[in-house]
This record gives sequence, C-alpha cells and structure tokens, in this order.
Amino acid sequence: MALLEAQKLEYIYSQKTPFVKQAVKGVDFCVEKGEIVGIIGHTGSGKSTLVQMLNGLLKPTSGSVTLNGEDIFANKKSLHDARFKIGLVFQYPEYQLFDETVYKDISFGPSNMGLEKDEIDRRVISASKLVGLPPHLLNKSPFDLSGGEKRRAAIAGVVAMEPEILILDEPTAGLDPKGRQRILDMIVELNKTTNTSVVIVSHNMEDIAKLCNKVLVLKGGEAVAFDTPEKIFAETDIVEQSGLILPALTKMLISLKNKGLPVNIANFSVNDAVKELIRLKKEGYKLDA
Amino acid sequence: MLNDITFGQFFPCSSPIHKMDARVKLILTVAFIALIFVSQNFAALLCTAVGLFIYVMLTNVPVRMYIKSLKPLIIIVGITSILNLLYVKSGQELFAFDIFGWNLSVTLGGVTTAIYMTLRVCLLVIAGSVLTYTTSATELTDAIERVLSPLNLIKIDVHSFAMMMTIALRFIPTLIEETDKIMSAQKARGADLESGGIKSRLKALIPILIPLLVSSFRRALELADAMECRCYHGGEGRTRVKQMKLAFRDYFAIVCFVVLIGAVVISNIYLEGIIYALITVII
Ligand SMILES: Nc1ncnc2c1ncn2[C@@H]1O[C@H](COP(=O)(O)OP(=O)(O)O)[C@@H](O)[C@H]1O
Ligand SMILES: [Mg+2]
Repeated sequence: MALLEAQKLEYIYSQKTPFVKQAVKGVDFCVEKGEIVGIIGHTGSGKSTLVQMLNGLLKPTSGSVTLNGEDIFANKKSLHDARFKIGLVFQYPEYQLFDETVYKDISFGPSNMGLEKDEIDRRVISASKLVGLPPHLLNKSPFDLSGGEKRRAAIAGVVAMEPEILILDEPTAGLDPKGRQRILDMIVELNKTTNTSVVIVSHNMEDIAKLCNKVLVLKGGEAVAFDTPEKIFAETDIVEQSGLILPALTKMLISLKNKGLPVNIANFSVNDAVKELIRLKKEGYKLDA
Repeated sequence: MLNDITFGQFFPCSSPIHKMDARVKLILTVAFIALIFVSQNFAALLCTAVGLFIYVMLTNVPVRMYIKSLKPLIIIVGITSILNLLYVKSGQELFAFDIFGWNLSVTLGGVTTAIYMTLRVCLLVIAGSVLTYTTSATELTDAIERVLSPLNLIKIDVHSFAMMMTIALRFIPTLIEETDKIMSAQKARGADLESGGIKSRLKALIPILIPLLVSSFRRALELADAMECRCYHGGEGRTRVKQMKLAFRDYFAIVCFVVLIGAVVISNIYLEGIIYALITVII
C-alpha cells in the first residue's frame, strides 16, 4: 500500500457560474515512503490545484485521497491530522510570513500542533539549520530578510512540522540559480536524513530529472504519464505535447541515441553525461555530429 | 468560501443591456430608484415592478443570480416587516391576539406598509444588481466620472475620485484571491480559523491580516510606480481610447423609461384606493 494515494481526482472551480473551469480531470497517482515524486506541467495544467487536494485544503469534486489507506476526507479529525502529516509549501510562500521574528514565524506550525515548548524549540532550530538559515537571522523580522532567505524561512515553517510527506509547489520559482540550488540540495538532504517523502511541483524538467524517482506529467488537468524520469524523457512526444522543454543535455543524448548509439539517456547531470560520453568513446563509437 | 460575494459583481455575457451606454444605465437606475419611492400605491408599484421585470429579462443574466443578491436581505426585511405589522396602527383591524400579556393587533395599514416596504427594498436591490451585473467596473466608474463631471466647476476633482474608485474596484478580486491563498497557506500550517471564542478567533486573524496588509502596500507602491512610468499625472488633458456614444438602444431605453414614469404618475393620481377598495371588498 502506498503512503499517499490519489484516485480519480477531479476538481471543478466556480461550478454553476459562467466562470466554471475543470482544473483537474481524473488523476491517479501515489507516493511511497521515502520517494521523491515530481509533478510537472505547463502553467495552468492544474498542478497547484492537485497538490491542494492532496493535503485536504481543497475538497475534490470527486475521487479520493488516502493516507496510509485512510481517506483523509472521512471526518474532521482525519482532515486535521492530514494537514500535519502532509506538509504543503505554497507557491511564493514568502508572502505568508507574518510574525514579529523569523523564529516565531517558523514555530507557528509546530505550536498549532500543540507541542511542548522544548520540542518546538528543537524543531525550529533543526528546520532552520536544514534550510540553511543562519541562527542570527532567527531574531530578525521576517520582512527584513532577502528574497531567498524569506523563501527558506517560509519553507522552514512547514519543515518544522516534520510531516511524513512534504509537498512543495514550485519552490524555486523566481529565485536566482544559487538560491535554486540551495533549495534543491535541502530537499535531497531532508529526504536522505529523515526518509521523508517529497512531492515537488515544477515546470523545470532539469530539476525534476535530477531529483525524482517518479514523475507525473499533467496536461490540461489530465495525467498524461506517471513513470520514472528516464522512461518519460525517452518519450519525447509526451513531453513536448505537454508544452514542456526537455533539458538540453537530455536532448543531446536522445539525438545520439537516435543515431543508433547505445547511449543511456538517464544521465541528468553534466558529470554523468560526460562520463557516459567518455565510456562510448572508449568503446570506439564516433561521437561527432 | 469568499466566492459567495455576488452583489456588485460583473456578470459577463451578451445582451442589449450589457451593450447599453453605462451613463444611461447609471442615470436610469438612479431615476428608477427615485421612482420606486414616489410610487404611492400598489398599482404604481406594480408598474415599476413590471418595468423592472422586463429590464431584468433582457439582461440574459440567470434569474438565480438576482435571487442570490436578495438573500442577504431576508433577515433585515423579515424583522422590519414584523415590526411594521405590529406597530403600524391604521385602517381596519384584521385580528388581535395576546402573548405574555401583551395585547397585539394587526391592522390593514400595517399589512400594506410591510408589503410596500418589502417590495420597495427588493426592487431597489434588483435594480442595483442589474446595473452591476451588466456593467464592468471600469465602465461604471467611467460613467460616474462623466456624469459627475459638472462638479469640476465647483473645484471637486472628479477624475481623482473616479481613478481611486476604479483602482479599488479593480483590486477587490485580487485581494479576495490573495486572502484565499493566505488563508489556505496558514491552514496548511495548522491555523484554526473556525473554532474557539471571540478572542481566539480574533487572534487567528493576525496571520492573515498582516501578510495581506504587507502585500497590499507592496502592490500599491508598485502600481504607483507603474502609473508614473506611463506618465500618469492626473486627469488634466487625458483623452480616452473608448469614446462613449449614445446609440439607438439608449434612446429607446430612455423613451421606455419616460413611458414608465407616465404610467406611475397616472397610477398615483387615478388609481389611488382602487386596490384598497378591492381588498376591503374581499375581506
Ligand atoms: N481559485 C480559482 N478559481 C477559478 N479558477 C481557478 C482558480 N485557481 C486556478 N484556477 C484555474 O484552474 C486551472 C489550473 O490552475 P492551477 O492549478 O493553478 O495550475 P498550475 O499550478 O499548474 O499553474 C487554471 O486554468 C486556472 O485558471
Ligand atoms: Mg501553480
């Protein structure tokens, strides 16, 4: 049994008005313990709507979400528990900072869980360490931080709740390359050290390819594929029809493969790709176009 | 949850009323509201109701939207109706009863006052809804600016007020959306907005109001910069892309309205008492 399972999820916005809009259409998908799952899709493909249903913020028009086999919408208590067990970091989470100090803001979630003071303190410290916020920032006002720091403080606010599954909606949107890398590194570290499952929403294929065990591709609210990144990227059509752009590296490897070389396209970092090319060269293949 | 605010929301669809000149709609609506209050008897009110009904039918907006706009009024109208029924003492006494030693009676005058009041309030709200359902916020403020432009003569800066109103109206949906988002985000962090006493509920608002205020200020500053970058410096010498021009349908609407005024005046003068008489006969 999967840790988190979504079945035939549908969501319709503004039903019975002229603005009616079906944002999610019959999506099935699941997350296992310790996995990193990516959700990719063009803007407006329903990614944000989908993840809000996964932690019970939006009630699906039809379909079900189960956590450890239990329906999270069964009753008030299960819904309440799901909020804490499935942590959701919204798109541009820095806009939700509100408290006097960064420390207090990060402790908002844990204290809503009714934890002891010592436990809250431990969680705030470890979450801010994980996201890379230096301790001297904890006593500052969140509004005095830089953009990247705000983002990390906001993520720490959800990480401090120590959810079983952490969902991040476009966590790197609008950040500089360095800030982006920091967030991605943080996600990997969290996953490795605590075995927390992670769902990461993005429209950047490169990030997804490097990080994820499995990828869900959304197009116009429908799931067009749910598989390992290697298999999905091998199907160039699916990716391009969904309005996404393959990483340049993958494109190159694919074009080599199309020329008949026995290349493994599942090399998503520059280092791996170079190694792969060197291996091919040693085996005596000609690599020039 | 915040999507239920309907009064004052534009309902985009195609109809002759949507296409009418916003100035004409605005003036006719104000005049119509005046007409509701000068309608002195049932016959006159019936005329205005029929007039409004035809107008509503022409808008292509589902009737359910109008009913929705009346919903918030039920309590107020209900309470005032009951008070009117019990306290207006004129005309024939219909029936009397005792509650807790109070001697209460309902008179014909009370019944008619209550019905008048309910009818008038409903007509008024529906007339206002037609205007806002069929006119976009920009059209409406534009119309207000033009209709009030004579006030420039007495040194009132109509343009600035209209611009402020346009901006305020423009940002209502944005603010609602933003509030929704922030509420969801804080709920995801376990914020409890729905239970507890008054004090804890007020406290629960802080994590929502502060981010909302901060982002409103940020937005306002950005908007001001953007407007200045496009050389906005008030209304002086500003020209418009969309010129408003009266079309046949506008003149037709005005003629219809004048006919309606005529009908109401005639009813007021000549039909006084007819329906009273009818009711008295029936009773
Ligand atoms: N609150 C809302 N009301 C109405 N429609 C919405 C709302 N939020 C999103 N939508 C619509 O639902 C679709 C999916 O949106 P979203 O889930 O935000 O996509 P993504 O996160 O992939 O960009 C879009 O077409 C969007 O316009
Ligand atoms: Mg989104």
